[in-house]
Amino acid sequence: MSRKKNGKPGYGKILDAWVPPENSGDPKGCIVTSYTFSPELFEEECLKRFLRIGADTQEESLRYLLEREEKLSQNGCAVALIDQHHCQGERNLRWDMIPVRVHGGIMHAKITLLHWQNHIRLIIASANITMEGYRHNREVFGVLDYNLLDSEDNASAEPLSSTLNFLLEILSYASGESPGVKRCNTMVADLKKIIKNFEPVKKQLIQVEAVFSRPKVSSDGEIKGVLGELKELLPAGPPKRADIVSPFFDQSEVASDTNPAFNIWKHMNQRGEAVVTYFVEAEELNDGEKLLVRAPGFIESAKPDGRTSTVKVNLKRILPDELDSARALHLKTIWLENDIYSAYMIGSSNFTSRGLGLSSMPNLEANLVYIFKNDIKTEKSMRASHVEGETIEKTYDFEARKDEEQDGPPEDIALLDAFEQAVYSSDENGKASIEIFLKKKPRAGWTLSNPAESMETLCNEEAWVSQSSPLRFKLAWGTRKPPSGFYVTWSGSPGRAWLPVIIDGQASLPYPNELNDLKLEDLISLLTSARPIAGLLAGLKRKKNGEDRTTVDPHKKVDTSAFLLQRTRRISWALTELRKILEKPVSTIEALDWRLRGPVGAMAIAKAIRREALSGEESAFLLAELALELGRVKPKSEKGYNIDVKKVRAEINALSGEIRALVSLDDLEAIPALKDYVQKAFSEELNGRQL
Amino acid sequence: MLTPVLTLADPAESTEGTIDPLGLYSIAESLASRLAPGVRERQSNPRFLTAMAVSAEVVSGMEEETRSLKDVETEPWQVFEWYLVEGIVRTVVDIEVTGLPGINKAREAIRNDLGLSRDRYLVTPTVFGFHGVYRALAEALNIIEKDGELKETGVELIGQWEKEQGLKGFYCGNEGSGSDMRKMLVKAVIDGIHAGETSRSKNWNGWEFFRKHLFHMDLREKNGAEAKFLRETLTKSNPNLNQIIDYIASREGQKLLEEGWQEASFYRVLRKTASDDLKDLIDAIASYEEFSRLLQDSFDECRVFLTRRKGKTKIKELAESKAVKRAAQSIPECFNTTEDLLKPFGRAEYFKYLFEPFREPVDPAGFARVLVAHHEKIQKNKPPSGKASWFIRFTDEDICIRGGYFVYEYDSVALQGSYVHPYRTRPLNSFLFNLGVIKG
Repeated sequence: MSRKKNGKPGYGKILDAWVPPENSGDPKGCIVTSYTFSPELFEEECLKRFLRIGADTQEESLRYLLEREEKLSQNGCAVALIDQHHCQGERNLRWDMIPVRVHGGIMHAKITLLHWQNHIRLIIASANITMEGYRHNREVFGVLDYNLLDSEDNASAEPLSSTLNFLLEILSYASGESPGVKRCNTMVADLKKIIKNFEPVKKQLIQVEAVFSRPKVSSDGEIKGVLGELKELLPAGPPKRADIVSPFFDQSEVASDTNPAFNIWKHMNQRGEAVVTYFVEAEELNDGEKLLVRAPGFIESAKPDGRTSTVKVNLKRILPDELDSARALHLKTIWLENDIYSAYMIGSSNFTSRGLGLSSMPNLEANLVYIFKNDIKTEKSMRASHVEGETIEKTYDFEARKDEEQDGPPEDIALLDAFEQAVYSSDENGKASIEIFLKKKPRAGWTLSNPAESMETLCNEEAWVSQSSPLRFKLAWGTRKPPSGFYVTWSGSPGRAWLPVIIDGQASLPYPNELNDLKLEDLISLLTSARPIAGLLAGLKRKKNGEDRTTVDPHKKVDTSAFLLQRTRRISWALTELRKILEKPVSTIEALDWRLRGPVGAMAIAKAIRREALSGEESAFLLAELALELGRVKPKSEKGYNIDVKKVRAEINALSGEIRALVSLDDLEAIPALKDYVQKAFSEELNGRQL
Repeated sequence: MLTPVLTLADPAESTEGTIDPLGLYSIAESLASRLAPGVRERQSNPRFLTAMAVSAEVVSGMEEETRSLKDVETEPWQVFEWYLVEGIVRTVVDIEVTGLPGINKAREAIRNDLGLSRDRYLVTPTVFGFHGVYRALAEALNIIEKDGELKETGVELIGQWEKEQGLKGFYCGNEGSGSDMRKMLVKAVIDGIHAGETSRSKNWNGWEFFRKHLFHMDLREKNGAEAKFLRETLTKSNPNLNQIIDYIASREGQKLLEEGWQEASFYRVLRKTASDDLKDLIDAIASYEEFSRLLQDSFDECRVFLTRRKGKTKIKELAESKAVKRAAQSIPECFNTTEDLLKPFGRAEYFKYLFEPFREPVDPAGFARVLVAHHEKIQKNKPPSGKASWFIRFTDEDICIRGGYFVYEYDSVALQGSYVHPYRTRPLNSFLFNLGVIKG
């Protein structure tokens, strides 16, 4: 992605960072973390870009649905790790939403990790994945790219590696046995393996490190915190100047080591001059004569004892957004510099004791630090991504904004610890069940209800006790639409908590009804056309609705699609195309499953043949042709595609066996030559499929 | 290595500029479509209809051509669109280009010395590219088929354009400068399909074609046979559209639109001279918009109330809103009138299906409950798999508003009598300006 947008260096749109770079290949997986979260934005804007879904969610809802199913079911992992207070909402179950439960703190990090076949991208931001964060607020983000084909311009592996370790820490706060957590762990493990093979990058002008906040105590028992780590990253001595931007500050003005406004001085130059500048929002009062500074007043007076002559605090008013002055400030940055180097930190850490890891109950936070020499060119390019401020010349009062995280939205309630997870699975006949995992006995008076069915009660304490209080129990779900989650309430609960449902595997989820049982002719068209599947399906839908145009060409007026010879030839083309698809390298079992048993896969063709063949003989003949083609498949492998060719072959063989079972040789008694051909075809298929 | 990035505002591209929390949009849209079939609020310049006809001629038959390319995920018309947008951006340097979808993407690609491709163009080109924006109108005017092939009017349009532009042989010809140009474009599109991007250098002769012959902002200046044909095609296509266009072009119509663009006043005056069919349609629109205004005003005033409260609120407290009181009193009667007036247009059943709970008279608190429940139902049923409510519900009676939907001020008094939804006067006025009919 480009740094320049609308000609203004240092500015960009965070959603653009979700667009795959050139030659990045197929999407393999993504993991995001966020404090507040909008499942809609994530699915319809973020995943849409990551997976290259071309259809529009609103105007082409069916096409969007179909493309989403195709691409999500083939993607190895899409996981959102969300703070427990905000982990709720309707979603498509093909991606996981997992609550992160930090006791006494919150999961506040905003990490996005995107993995395509040939590319890894790490984004660390101040923005939550919400409409406000991604579209409205003033935020900051950093992007690190790792091209797996050409590493020349790659970032250093260190921040990626430490972020992967941090993600594992975050996962330790989620339900350990959850299938979603397992998928996430697998992706992290895969990426770690890839990173191991990274070549060392050449020395760069700007060094990047990741800095995190979590419960951590240094060896001497002292809390180091983010500021301490940041200072250590700055070469050539302590900082003489610090520029701080934060929408939120601690409320307490007590001088303590855990209050960042006081703690910062510990890390500044101890001999000689030191200056801390706070970039603050300020509103005009009394017809512009006075300003209301959106920060606590004590930041101006918080200085180390006995050093009042050598240390200084400045306030600068952040200039409003040129185009939209109503945009709320949500970005958080700290810029430290001495005479030779600067360290510029961006990310999720507010200038609060919990955000900077100074509190005894710190948040989980993630930041990127850019370290560079203070040459004019580099500093200019880095300053372009720092907010501009002007010296305040008017008189002013202080009024801090309420800290969003410290107080928290009072009405959002976290799920009880007792409820670990709800896992959706289905059997071979498509009958589904949802298994509820409890860690311990929940609070008295608990009820589990289904928001999709007018709050139908699915289970409650009374029913649970009557079944001997099992820690795992199953709810029969049948063929109903899989739910996104359930509401949990209990005696005295101030509201409803959300228990998200996750799937045990992609294969468990049914495809949308629109994709079931496509006609043989439609399947042939899909396989033999160069157009993308969703585009074709839109055309097929028009045909089904009788909207197909009246053709002018008299030759085209005759529908020859049912003529035996034409039909057989078209099916033959389609089977050849199917073979080519099956020979392509495949990266996940789910992708292989889509090719074999998905709505346009080999089994769908077999079933369509059975359903629509003009006779038993035609059915047997065409199924034999299909099996023959499957026998000819020579699966290929490529670097980065994880599924072994033997595994592919084994799955195809299993499918061939199922297709063979669909053929009744008894139906062919009247035509011995055909019976002989079909038998030979299956025999050839059996011989041909040996590797 | 990238440096950090400060975010730019990134407002959502939403259909016709509304997020529609009350499900009012679809009926308004279907009524607007009866006023002006195929015309959409996003449209502004009919020259894109010519561009679509030219595109259809260039890509005709390419489906077969690209059959062998199994990995291709781009349709030929899309590649033509990339060329056109890139061509205009590359060659029109003397004036500021406006009204060209995808222009910023093209500028960025050119700045980076790259061609347009799927990744360097609009995220949803099928909707927001010019083919997407104008497709419905091109179909309604018989310029192209649903599958993109040329229809009779399209053939005539190309004929007029070809003659006026001096491009003999462009349509189906084997000789002449137009034929050569078409062949050059066909080759460029095929190469683009193979490459997955526009595959011509900045020195390519073909870029000039788009400036000279298809630049949308030139139509008004030329005001020749092509513009005349498009004007006639538009007015002949539908009697309602004909009357609206005539009235927009009239001095009285222009005056009304200049006065703050009040479509309610515009259609009220037009009704006096309209045909019976158009009168019925305007009446249905007026009644539906009155219903919509009552609902929309109450909803937005409730948002203001909840925003100021910023916490758990009893729904019955929303009854304090003036707009809620007004709606509770007027909605049942308005419901019945609107239902009757929508019958001739086949929307009465759907209206009932969507808004039935508003038929029964209730007190303001009861109305607020119905309103909140209605919003939740509408959000839940939105494609593809439902959207979140703008409110968080704690119990049957307690809600609060979500952060992204705060509204601090709303003046329902100032909006009384105005329409909630747009009814096509803006795009049609813009069409007439670009066709040289009005001064603008």
